[in-house]
Amino acid sequence: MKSKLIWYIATGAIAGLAAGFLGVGGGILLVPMMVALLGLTQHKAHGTSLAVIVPIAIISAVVYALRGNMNWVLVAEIGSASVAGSIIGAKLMMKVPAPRLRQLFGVYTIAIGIFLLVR
Amino acid sequence: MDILIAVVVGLVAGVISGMLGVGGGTITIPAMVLLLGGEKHIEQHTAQGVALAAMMFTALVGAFIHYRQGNVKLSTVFLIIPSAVAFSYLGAWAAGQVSAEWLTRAFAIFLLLIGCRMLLFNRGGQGVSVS
Repeated sequence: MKSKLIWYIATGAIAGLAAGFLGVGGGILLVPMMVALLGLTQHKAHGTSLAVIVPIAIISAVVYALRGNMNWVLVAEIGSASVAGSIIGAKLMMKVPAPRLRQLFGVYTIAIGIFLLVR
Repeated sequence: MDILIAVVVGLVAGVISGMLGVGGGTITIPAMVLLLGGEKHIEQHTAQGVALAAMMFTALVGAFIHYRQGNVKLSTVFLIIPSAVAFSYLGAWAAGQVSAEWLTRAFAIFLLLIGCRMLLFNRGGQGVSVS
C-alpha cells in the first residue's frame, strides 16, 4: 500500500501544483507526504524532496519568465545569498534546537499571512 | 539600497531553509513584495518567479550535498517527477490567470496554514534540507 504508484502521482501533483501556483518550493508539502505516504525516513525525505524541487523550480521559473514575471538581477542577488545562507544554515543546524526554530518560523508565517491579508 | 536588502533577505532565507528544510519562498516572496522595489514595486507574480528561479540553485546545491551523503532516494525522485513537472506547469500557468491581488491572498492563506502546522505539529528532530 505504501508504495502504490498513485501515491507518487498524488505527491508530485499536490507539491507541483502548490509550487507552480504559489512560488514556494513544495518541500513544505513534499517532506511530510514522502514520510506519510511513501514510507521514506525523515532524512531521506529531506534530501529526496530537494532533488524533486529542482525540476519543479526549473519548469515553473520558465513559465513565469516567458510571461514576463521575472527579474534576473534579483534572482542573482537573492539566489547567490540564499546558497551561501543555506550552507551556513546547514552547519548551524545542529547548534539550534529545531522545535524552537519551527515555533519562531510558525509565528513569522502567521504574522506575515495576516499582514498580507489585511494590508 | 535594494541590493543590500535583497542580499540580506537571501541570506536569511538561506540560513532558515538550511536549518529547517523549509522557508525559501515563504521568506523571500513576502520580503520582495513588502520591502523591495520602492518606485519600481515588485508585484506578487514577479516575486514568485524570482523565488522559483533562485530555488533552482539552492535546491540543486542542497540536492547535491544530500546525494553525496546518501540521502536521495533516486527511485522515488523518478517516480514523482512526471506528475510533479506536469502539475507545476499547470500551477504556474494558473498563477498567470489570476490577479496579483488574489494571488497574494492565496499566498497569505497558504502561509497561515503552514504557520498553524508548524505550531501544532512541532515534533523533535532537526531539519536538514534547503528547499
